[in-house]
Amino acid sequence: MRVSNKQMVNIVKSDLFRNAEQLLKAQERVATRKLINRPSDDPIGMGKVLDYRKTISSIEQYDNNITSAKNRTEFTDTLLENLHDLVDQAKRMVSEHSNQTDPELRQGAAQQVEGIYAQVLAIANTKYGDAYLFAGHQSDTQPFTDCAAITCGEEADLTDGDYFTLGSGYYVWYDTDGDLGTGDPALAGRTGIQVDVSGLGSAVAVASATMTAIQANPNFTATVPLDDLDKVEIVPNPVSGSYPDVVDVNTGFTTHDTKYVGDSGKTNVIVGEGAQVRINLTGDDIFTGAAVASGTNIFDDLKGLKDALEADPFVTSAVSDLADNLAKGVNQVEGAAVSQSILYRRLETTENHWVKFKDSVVNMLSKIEDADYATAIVELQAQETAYEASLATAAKMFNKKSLIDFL
Amino acid sequence: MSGIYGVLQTGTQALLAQQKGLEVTGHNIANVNTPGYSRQTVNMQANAPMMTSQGLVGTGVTARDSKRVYDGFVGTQIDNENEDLGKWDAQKTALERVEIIFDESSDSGLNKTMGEFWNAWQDLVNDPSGNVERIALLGSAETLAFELRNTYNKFSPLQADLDISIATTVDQINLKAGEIADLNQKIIEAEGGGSHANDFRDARDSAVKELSSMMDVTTYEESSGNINVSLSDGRSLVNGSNASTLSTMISDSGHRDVVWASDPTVSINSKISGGKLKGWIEVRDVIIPEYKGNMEDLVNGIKGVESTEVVTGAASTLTTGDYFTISSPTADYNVWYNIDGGGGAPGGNEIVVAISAGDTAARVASLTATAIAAEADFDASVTGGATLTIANVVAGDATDSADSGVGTTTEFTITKRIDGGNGINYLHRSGFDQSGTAGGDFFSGTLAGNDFAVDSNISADKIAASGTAAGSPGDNSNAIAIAELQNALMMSTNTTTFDNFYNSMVSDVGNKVRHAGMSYDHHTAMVTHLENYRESISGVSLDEEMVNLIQFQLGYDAAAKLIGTTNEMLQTLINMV
Repeated sequence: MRVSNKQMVNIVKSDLFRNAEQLLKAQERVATRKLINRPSDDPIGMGKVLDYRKTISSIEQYDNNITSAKNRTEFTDTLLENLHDLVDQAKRMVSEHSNQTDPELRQGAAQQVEGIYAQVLAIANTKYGDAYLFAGHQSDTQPFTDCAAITCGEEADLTDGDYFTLGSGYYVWYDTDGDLGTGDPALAGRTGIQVDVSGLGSAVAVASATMTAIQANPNFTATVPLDDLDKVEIVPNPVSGSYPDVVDVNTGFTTHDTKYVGDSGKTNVIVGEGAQVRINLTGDDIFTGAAVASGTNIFDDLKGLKDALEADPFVTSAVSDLADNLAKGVNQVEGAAVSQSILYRRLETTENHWVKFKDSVVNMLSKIEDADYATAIVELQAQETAYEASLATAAKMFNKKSLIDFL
Repeated sequence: MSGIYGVLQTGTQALLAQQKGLEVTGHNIANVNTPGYSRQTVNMQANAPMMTSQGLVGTGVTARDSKRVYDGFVGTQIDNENEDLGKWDAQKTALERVEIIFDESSDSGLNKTMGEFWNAWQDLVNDPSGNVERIALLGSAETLAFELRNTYNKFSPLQADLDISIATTVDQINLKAGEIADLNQKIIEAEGGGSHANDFRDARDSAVKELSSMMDVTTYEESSGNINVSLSDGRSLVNGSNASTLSTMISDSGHRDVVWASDPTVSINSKISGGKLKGWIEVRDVIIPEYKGNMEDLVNGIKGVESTEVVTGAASTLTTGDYFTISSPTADYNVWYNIDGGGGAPGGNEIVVAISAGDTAARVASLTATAIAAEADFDASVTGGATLTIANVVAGDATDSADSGVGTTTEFTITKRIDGGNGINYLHRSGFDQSGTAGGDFFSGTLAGNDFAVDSNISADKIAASGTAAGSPGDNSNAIAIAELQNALMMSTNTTTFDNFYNSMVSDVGNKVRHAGMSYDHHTAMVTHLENYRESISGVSLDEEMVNLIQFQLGYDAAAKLIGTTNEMLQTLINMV
């Protein structure tokens, strides 16, 4: 075959280009330590790489979600432990004081119960971050309102027979249906002040009716402050005021109900693809017992205990009757705590799963995407050698003697 | 002529012939590096012998002309391969630029941005009333919208660049066509005398070769020596010494289409099947629009697109959440259909029409009328079985039925959700923001309109994380629903997720570039091979030329010697006198 000069040049050129290109690719792999530097390097691999990256990013997010849920659960758990101790303490006080004959000790006990009540209320209104923990979906509203100042006294909020006490001798109770005596809680040894709230549509009207009813008793002066029309301020009548212990009615716990204004809304978190777990407990689950089978309203029970201890004359059964309820209350809190620890376990298991899974996805990603350094370097060496060889060949070819040299 | 003078004559002719040989050899050596050059050989022929008394006597040599050594078949093959090579070359370079747009090789890009967007929704799930989470979500939503727009907008400059390439190439084609026509004329003129116009022919072959790398052409050589070039639409680009002109026009899509200058409104794009033009046109008009369409689909999927569609009102044509709008002087109402207790209000003032699957148009019309009539502002009635008439009943505006949005036929113009329509906007409207108001559209605008963005009404507190009405700041159910869209099969008629849809798009780009690269390599190898083959026939070998040089030199020396010898013989004769 004839070989022309241009043929030689062309072959040298195309070989050089090809080897240079391969050398460049090998160099890029070593420099970036990646097998896939652009989609065309490995289209299918690239698709997988993107998929794995997305999976890793999702797992990291699930991990964040779980961590934040775990923190919340731990926090809730601590609160429930404290709550359990408090309710349990109240339960023990029932047996300690149901036969207490010394009125002063009973008063002391009553104050202790009041303290427990206040602490339970504080727990019930705990905030986690900016949100109330036990308020269901109403996380920006304090879930339990102490109705001392009757500020939540809308007629619709009241149940027939709701009441608060003035000192140890009076109770003010609400008659929502205007049927007078029916519903009167009639605690032993107290004077009832009936407030007829039937048909009243607003807290302001209830406050006003309460004021009028209390005012009618010569022992008290009641006013509705002009700047807060749904609040009633009550003080003993300076003329006949013989009940100095009433002074704290505005601040103490005095209504029958500590009202739960949260709701039963569930808070779920995402712990995996399509997997959600509920992480919140509402006031109804722990405190009012409304969401629990054979639950009990802990506030009512504590209030009842305090009232019964304070009652004059003292009725033993009024105290001991509360033993069952408080035992239920302890169970209720324990039940909530157990649900939290089960939740915690589940979160932990899921987290462990994700940690392991992430490891394997990272591995798979690395297998597809990352260049094995040793292989890449060896390949670079090989390409270098090939390139040098083609350079040497080219040099040889151009240096070769031609016929001209011999003529 | 015989005798001693005849010998002298033979010697002279031999000198001239060898000289011609040397000239041709020199020409070959000089053109050793000229592209497209074919080596030439001298056509030497012994002269006709003379009848003398001694019988037939040779009369020397004549160098008739020089001829190029050329295999026309290889030339045609190279031209054909060049068409493919040109096409893949153009496609490869253009697609490599598309590939850069989808730069996902590093740990950044749309894939990551999308992931961060969905993760931000999950952060909101963890703290639905947290302001930080809301602002962060808003930020990542804006980033996502920006990245989507940004990626999409990178396609247009690329198309514009291809427009320029196409226009420039059309100019070059015209130039080459003119060159070929010129050369046709020169060849005819030169060869009229019976010689070979070797160099003109080489130049013409080169021009045809270059032309074929730009677009697919058919060439045909007439017996006169003319080459006629025609395009695949059958029209002739070069006919003898006349060349037609190509031009470009702006098509409906705003890009440059190739046309005949004589017929400047008829695009011949579809007729072009090879060369760079084909490669560019395909990338510009097929591949890039496909990716643009995919990006638009992706955005529409994320957003959830609604289309206005005329449907007959039977339940089978409706999907829960389909709605139409009617206006009264006091407010606009969205009348929406709820099939078997589904959800998905379009938001705003609403009139819910509860229907059941399988309801006929008449029944749907009747239920619609009842639901609308229940609203104080309207009066609605059904006549003729399924004809719904709606009228405003507010005093003084009874004629406003033009606003009703519903004609008096059985066909309702209903806003329907198209494929993947249950996107973010749909879910967002079903939820409630921090002040308990129903959420609005989350994203608005389109990629094509370059205005795809987080809806201007959305601020941090307007993000609808809650699934229950009015004042449930701790409710995260709607945020969960939206966050879970990430894993929902929302794309390609509900067969794939957003992420996978995008990932396969990137893979597809990679595949196309790879394919173009491989085809380019293949055709390059083919052309190189053929070029080598051509070179081995037509290329200049310096060694060979050296041999020829010496051969002709020796011949020349010998001829000179012949003349010298004859001269001596004549001297001898003269001295005898």
